[in-house]
Amino acid sequence: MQWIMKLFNLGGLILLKIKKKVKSEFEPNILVFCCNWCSYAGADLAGVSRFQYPPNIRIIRVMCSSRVDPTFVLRAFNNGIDGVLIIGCHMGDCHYMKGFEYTQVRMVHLKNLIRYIGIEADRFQLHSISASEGKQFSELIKDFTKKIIEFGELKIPKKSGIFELEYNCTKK
Amino acid sequence: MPNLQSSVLVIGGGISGIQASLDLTKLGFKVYLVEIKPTIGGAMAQLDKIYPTLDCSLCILAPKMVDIYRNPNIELFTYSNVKNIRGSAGDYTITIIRKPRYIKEDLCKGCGDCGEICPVRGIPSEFDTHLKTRGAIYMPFPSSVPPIYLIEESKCLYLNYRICGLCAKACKPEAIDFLQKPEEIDLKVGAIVIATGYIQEMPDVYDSFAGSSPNVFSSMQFERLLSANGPTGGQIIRLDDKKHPHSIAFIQCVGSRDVHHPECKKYCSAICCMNSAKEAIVVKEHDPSIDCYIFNTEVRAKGKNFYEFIEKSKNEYNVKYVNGHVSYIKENLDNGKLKLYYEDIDKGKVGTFEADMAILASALSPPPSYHELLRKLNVGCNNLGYIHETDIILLEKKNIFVTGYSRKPNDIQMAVAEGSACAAKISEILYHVRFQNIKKLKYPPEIPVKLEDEPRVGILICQCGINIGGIVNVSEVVDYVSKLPYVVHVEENMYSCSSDSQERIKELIIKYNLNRFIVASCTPRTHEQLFKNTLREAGLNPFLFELVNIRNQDSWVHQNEPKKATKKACDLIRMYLAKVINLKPLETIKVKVEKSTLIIGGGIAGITAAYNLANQGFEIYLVDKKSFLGGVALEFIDLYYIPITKNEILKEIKDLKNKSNVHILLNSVIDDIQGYVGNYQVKVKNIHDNSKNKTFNVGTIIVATGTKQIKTSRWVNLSERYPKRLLTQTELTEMKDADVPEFKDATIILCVDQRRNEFNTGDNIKTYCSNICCGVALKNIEKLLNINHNAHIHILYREFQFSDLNAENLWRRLRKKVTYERYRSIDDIKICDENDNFHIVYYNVGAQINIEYNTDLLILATPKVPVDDTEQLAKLLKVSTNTNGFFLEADAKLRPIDFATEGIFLCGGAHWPKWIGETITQAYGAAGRAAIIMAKGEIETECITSYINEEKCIGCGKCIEICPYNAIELVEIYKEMGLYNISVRKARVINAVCKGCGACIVECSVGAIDQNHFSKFQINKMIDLLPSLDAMDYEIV
Repeated sequence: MQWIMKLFNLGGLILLKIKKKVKSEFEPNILVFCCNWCSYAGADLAGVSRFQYPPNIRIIRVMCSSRVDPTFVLRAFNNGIDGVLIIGCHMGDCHYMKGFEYTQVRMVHLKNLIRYIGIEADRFQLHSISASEGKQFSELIKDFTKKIIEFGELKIPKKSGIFELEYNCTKK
Repeated sequence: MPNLQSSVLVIGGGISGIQASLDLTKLGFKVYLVEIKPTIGGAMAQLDKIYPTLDCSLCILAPKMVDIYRNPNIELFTYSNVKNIRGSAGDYTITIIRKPRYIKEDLCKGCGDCGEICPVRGIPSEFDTHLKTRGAIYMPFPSSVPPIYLIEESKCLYLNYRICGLCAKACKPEAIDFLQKPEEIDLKVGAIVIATGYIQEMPDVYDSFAGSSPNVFSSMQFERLLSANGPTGGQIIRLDDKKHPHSIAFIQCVGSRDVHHPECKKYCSAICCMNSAKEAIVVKEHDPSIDCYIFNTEVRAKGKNFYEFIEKSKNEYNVKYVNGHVSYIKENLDNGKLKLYYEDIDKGKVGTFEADMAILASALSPPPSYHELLRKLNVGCNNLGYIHETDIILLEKKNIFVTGYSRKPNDIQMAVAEGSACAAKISEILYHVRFQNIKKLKYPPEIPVKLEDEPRVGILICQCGINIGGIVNVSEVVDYVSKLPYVVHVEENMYSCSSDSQERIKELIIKYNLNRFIVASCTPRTHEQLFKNTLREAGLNPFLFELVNIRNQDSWVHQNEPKKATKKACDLIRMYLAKVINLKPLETIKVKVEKSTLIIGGGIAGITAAYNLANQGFEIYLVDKKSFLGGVALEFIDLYYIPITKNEILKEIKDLKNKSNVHILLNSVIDDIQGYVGNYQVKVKNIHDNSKNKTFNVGTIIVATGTKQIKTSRWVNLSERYPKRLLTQTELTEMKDADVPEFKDATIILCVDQRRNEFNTGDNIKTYCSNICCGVALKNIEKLLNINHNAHIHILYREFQFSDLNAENLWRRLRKKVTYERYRSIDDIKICDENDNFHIVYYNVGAQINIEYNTDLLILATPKVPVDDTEQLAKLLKVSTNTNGFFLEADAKLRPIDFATEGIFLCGGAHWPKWIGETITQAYGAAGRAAIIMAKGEIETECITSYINEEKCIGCGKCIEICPYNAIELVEIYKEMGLYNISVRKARVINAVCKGCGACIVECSVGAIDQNHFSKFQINKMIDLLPSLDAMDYEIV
């Protein structure tokens, strides 16, 4: 029986070698904010331990999760980013003592606002990952990506990004 | 004066050694850090969480380890040990042997290609306490410092049989060198710090604890099991049948506190009770349905917030404490469970209990290398296997300091304080030669980069061997990136972190006249500093740089999706390009620091700190409310085994009075404090004489205000009737022998009104443990026995809280002369007046009956509380206190003597009631921390700070409320408004204090605050450029 399977697999491989254009699946764009001390280190550890997760996330490093302005999240949705994740430290782990507490309070309000605007509130989530939780990081990303794919594309007209300078420079 | 060396040898790279090394370099000494293992970090790196904060251990330790690695003034010798020590105080010659790693340290990139290919498998990993396996070529754990591999000689096929050698072929940078030999290195140092830490052994005696069963763990093994990066990924499972346990038994005092068994340790390991409570809580957090039982003889929770932590585990997490000693465990072959046989003290019988898992809190002891070291120093050990206290003093005279667990069993926070204390003591001795060996990095002048200049970005994309290049199509990324605007030059290379790449970066910057740079490689947490230095060496401001993480967060985690990983790399570089073109050059500002210290409190802590700092040449203002120096402990200090005698302190006081740089202000209180680190303006008021009021400037402040003992509200009628025969412990200690009233039968009651739970609190009733009463009681017994040999002395206790080596010995000795009687709750003790005697009735736990007797002297251990004006002082200093009124430190574990506010330090009883020995350690520590700030005479501010746009600021003060560091102040600014000059309030960031968390920015409702290097515009642009510019169509083949 096994050799039939083997042959079948081999045949399958040959068949697949013929190029075949498949309609591209929905690949969500997900923005993740990580704090420098805990969650970014957790994401690094996931890498060192080779815990795989979907390649849809783009991490922006900030020093502390309390730096994340709610307007960043709104701007992201406005740009057509399908999901936003803020990952800070665990309660009490904050390198800056109270940062994550502030973040938590702020993001409760933001979540309500997002719901009010008419975006699925779970497209935005706040989580905690410590520097030793590589596995948890990859699980979190897997779950979140799955959720966003379920939601589908964010129905907001996309603005295309341009490289801009805060200060005008003298172009040569 | 002998020839003094300006460098220090630190033996042991655990947390204590790390703290000592970092402090020493800041105080101006070169440090050689020798570690016997291949990585630093010690036991703390293995822990999952730490008590009582339940912080992630590695989260707070790893940044310190990286600091050590990147510090130019610390030379790290891992996998090395000390061969011999020659010379004398101030001028030692040390020979160390560096064992061969068979890896060239400078070439290894820690990529792991060799580890994957190594055919040798199944070697138990030391870091994971033999629960996980590794190959013959390995890195101890993912965050090892230095992050390089090593080959275990006895297991390697090539080194033993000349076959294999696969790793050498796999290693792209050709770092493997099978010909390495042990290397001997001579070092010249002025002082030595010994911080060898502890090991947890599992000797044969544990066979009675079913030590061979796979479901019996030592506490450190269980710690690894709980850890998210441990052998089971943080899952709690039985190792044989992989089932989740329903009940876990924690067994305390395994192989310790046992005088009878030759293999057992005779002392208390000091940290196990708290450790087990912590592990039980973590288990409960994982899965609340698992029942946790802690079998203990007595719970020793000795430290700040420790008793509350135990109570929390009982009440909030429902961890069950069984008062009893486990003697024997065997496996029940019918159901695979473990059967425990134990003595139930509460019920007075032998019981059995079945659990799925058993965790042995087995004895912790100094490692063999410690004893070897002591032999080399010609110093003996006491019967407990520790260095004699007298020898510690002798060694300190020879500039050799013992810290952390090598000194005595202790937890992390004392190890950190002791590390800092060692640095302070060394700084006092080698004060004349500080900054002599410190490397000053010389940089070329900076190329001016103006905001108006057009950005010219250079990008280097690292292949990291095959780590990035094997998955991400680097040349495709180069193609894509080179078409982006403002990018002048892009190139790929094999290893961006190698030294030739650094040269290449410098070359590129000059050749293409670049003013911004991006490296796309590994993680900024370890490598950002390296590239920033390179940029600075090339003359570019280091803040015009970004490191894009395309290894740890891209190629390594998307190994099966190379195309998507390539796209992610492109996206990430594009996003960071949007940031990099908007970066501004940042400068550290140097703030002048007054080389003077205000020390509040002239007790033993204050005197010790003052003496240390005065000898380092700083100006000291020692302020005390009382009319004399010495504090409450001076009179009876000689009673205790501590490294200093009363006469020595009196001599120090005399010396202090004679020193020209010491100003002693007695009968004085602090009236006002303004300013910030480096420049505090202090007003001191004399209680009696207003003409002696003083105003002066200091750079740092040390708070050493101490504690006092309060009276109980119990048995008031008795204390009114017999004021001389019902005393608190402090009253008895301070009393002269002759003044003690005659007695035949004395009773000491411990834990009066303390260690109560939150439900029976009152005015003078405290939930915490005052920490020292048990030890003081032992000394009081000695005192009472001195007065009357034949007296009968009862000591009513709940649980003894000393884990001090000497106290334990004394307790055992006194056991023959006095009766220790255990009670359960203070409410069970009834005392009434009977024929001029106290008649005591209480429920005895051991005998399980009510016991009645008469006694004629009653001594109570009432709570210790902070001194009266603590709250007021806290307001002046703008620091916080905890619910019990003690000052709150910045971090319970790693910053026990710092306040959150920079420049203010804490020691002694103001932090928590503590032993004189610990007080002195903390005082030295605080002095050292203060000296770090003042040593250079200036401090450099952080670059990544907040800044305020004054035009937008409305002066509401919201940011001030939430800043955890008090780094924002409100200033009055006068503004011309037509005819009128009006004053407006504006917030201003104190750069010297700001740590750059950015919490204030979001809080500002008018958007007046922004952060350097993480500005709103920069992050916004990154978000804008996240969605693809050009949607790549994927072809699935």
